[in-house]
Amino acid sequence: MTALTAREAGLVACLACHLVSRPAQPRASMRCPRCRAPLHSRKPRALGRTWAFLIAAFILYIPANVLPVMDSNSLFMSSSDTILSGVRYLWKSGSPVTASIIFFASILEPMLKLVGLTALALSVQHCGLRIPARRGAQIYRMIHVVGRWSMTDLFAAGILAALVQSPTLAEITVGPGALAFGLVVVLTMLASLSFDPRCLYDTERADCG
Amino acid sequence: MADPLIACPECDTLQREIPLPRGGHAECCHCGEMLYRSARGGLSHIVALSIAALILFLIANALPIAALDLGAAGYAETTLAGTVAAVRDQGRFLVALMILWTGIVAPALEIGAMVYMTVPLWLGHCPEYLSVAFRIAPMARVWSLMDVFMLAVAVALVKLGDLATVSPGPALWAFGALIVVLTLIGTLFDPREIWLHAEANKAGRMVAEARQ
Repeated sequence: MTALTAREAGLVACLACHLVSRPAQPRASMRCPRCRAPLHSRKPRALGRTWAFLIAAFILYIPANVLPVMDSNSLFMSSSDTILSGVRYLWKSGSPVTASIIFFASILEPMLKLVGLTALALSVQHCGLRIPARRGAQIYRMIHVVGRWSMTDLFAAGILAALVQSPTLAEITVGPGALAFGLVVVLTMLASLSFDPRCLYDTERADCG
Repeated sequence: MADPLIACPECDTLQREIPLPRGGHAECCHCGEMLYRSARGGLSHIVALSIAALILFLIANALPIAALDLGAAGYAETTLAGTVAAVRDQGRFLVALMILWTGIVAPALEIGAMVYMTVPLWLGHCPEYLSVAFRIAPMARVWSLMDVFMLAVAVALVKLGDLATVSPGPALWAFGALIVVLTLIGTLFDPREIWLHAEANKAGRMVAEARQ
């Protein structure tokens, strides 16, 4: 099926209000005539931005997993927990459900997101690594839905830090890993926001033509 | 002119918008992405839900989200803002900023924008900064992680469970209700409706946008 795209028809769709309009002067900074949102036929420099955020996230992924996200000190013991050791502790202390949630949200999910976005970006750039556009769009949509849950562990550490702060008895502080981890989540969110799924279909159409 | 044009936000395929039966939705003919749904419930539903969300948000922020009872040794409780403050006081300024943004500011912007848009439209006016609010709402929705925060409270309670008596705070009820209300807004609200109402209010009658 050959379907005409808005771009081929010389039209631009507004991503905010979905109005399709014909730009008055192409290339100049366009605004949607209805909601005044900036108009772009495709998100500007989508791939470059996606890569920039992704590479930064890949680098920070290492300290995020190696450094402790939470330090606890009490009269009896003091411990530093990375995300993984926190999961292990929860598992051993008889909370397998919570351990699984954290494992999925904090370890598996950011990794899948990084790999997924990398695959999408490569798919747009290299013919050999092409993912079918529909499958790519599915991956992209899934990244959006599950991506937010990575913040769980960081929030939990914050709540514990606020609750447990009596220096004589027990104290929980947010560790340096939390910063790296939070940045990974924010950077992958920015990366997926910068990516334009329409590029997936553009390359598929270009292949056909 | 026939039905107005719409372009799929995911694959850019141009197609004609068709009227939908109540509760129906339209999918892109090329990639199958959902394009739009018929607005179930009118503007008045959205106004009511937005105001409910605003009230619940204020409650969720005013009351403690979790409390810790150490018996004789003391009692501690924290609110959402208290969590941000505690993390900041530990010198993790950026982490505190992330919690502040995703837990408080972004949800506040989202709910504020919804109330700012829908209440005047419902009363027959057109708010001055409608287009600004219209663009802020979806942006804030992306960053608003209230549901994640709720899960985090549960995780925190489990983590502390064997050390002390921890109880969920009253704000959690408001949190839970707020998440339900925001989800309802997400499913019932059709953003395009805003412009239909705005144009109707401006012109005093329904004017079909001249679209080519």
